[in-house]
Amino acid sequence: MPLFYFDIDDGVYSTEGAEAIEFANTEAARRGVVSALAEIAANELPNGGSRTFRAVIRDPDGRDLFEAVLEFRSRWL
Amino acid sequence: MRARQDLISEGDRPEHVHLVMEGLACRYKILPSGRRSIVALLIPGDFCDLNVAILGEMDHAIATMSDSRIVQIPRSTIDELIKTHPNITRAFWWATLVDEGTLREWLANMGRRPSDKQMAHFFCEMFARMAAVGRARKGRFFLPLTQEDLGDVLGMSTVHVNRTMQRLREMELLDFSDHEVLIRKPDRLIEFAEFDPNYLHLGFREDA
Repeated sequence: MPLFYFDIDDGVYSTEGAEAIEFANTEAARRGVVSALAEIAANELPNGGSRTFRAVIRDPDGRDLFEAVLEFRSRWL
Repeated sequence: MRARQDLISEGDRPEHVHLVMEGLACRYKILPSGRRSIVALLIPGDFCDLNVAILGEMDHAIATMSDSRIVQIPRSTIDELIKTHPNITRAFWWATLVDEGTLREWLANMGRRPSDKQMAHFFCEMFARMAAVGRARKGRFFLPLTQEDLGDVLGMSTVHVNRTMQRLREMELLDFSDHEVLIRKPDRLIEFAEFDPNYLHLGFREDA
């Protein structure tokens, strides 16, 4: 199974160079990173009124394959 | 038993109770979506399915995670022991209560604590349990789980597990590679995880 690298930045903490993960294909890797982004947002969100969560999938050659951005904005009215 | 084999499947009516002597096994359920949820890890000294001696049909499956040595004890033997040896009955009861306590702790932790603390707590628990059965040395113990397995234990996606692990590593709380866990400063990990081993009931009541 191919290896994928995931760089995830939650606006406060960013992981780059974490161990590669095997997924059956790019679609499985995409689903994996989207689930993770939602979980990370759920963890982090009550703190602060706006946050941007960004994830990039890279292949072992360092090529960027996919990007997902989750943006949270909130304000009192 | 080889690694990654079902000992018992959901719906089975096993005639034996299994006891882990060496290795690691897990209790799991497959959700309708096809996702696996691991609801317990069984280490040397743990009974896999004491409840089938009474309940009959399995409501979950049990599989080995690594090559393991498993002993089968006929149900009739368990029955016999329960009838003739109150101390053994008490030990069975104890084991079942601790299993329940552990499950309560997992349930209480899941989704209710930040993922890094939840994961740290899990490693504290495995460290305490492995140490109690002499399977941990100087903060090191064998834990044959993949990141995907960890995700199925913690209710987290593999990518999230990977990131959380990286974070704990950067904080120098623990290291986990090639199925080996290394906890250099257990006190720091325990403090970070807010781990209280009371639910493992590793001590005995003096008045019991």
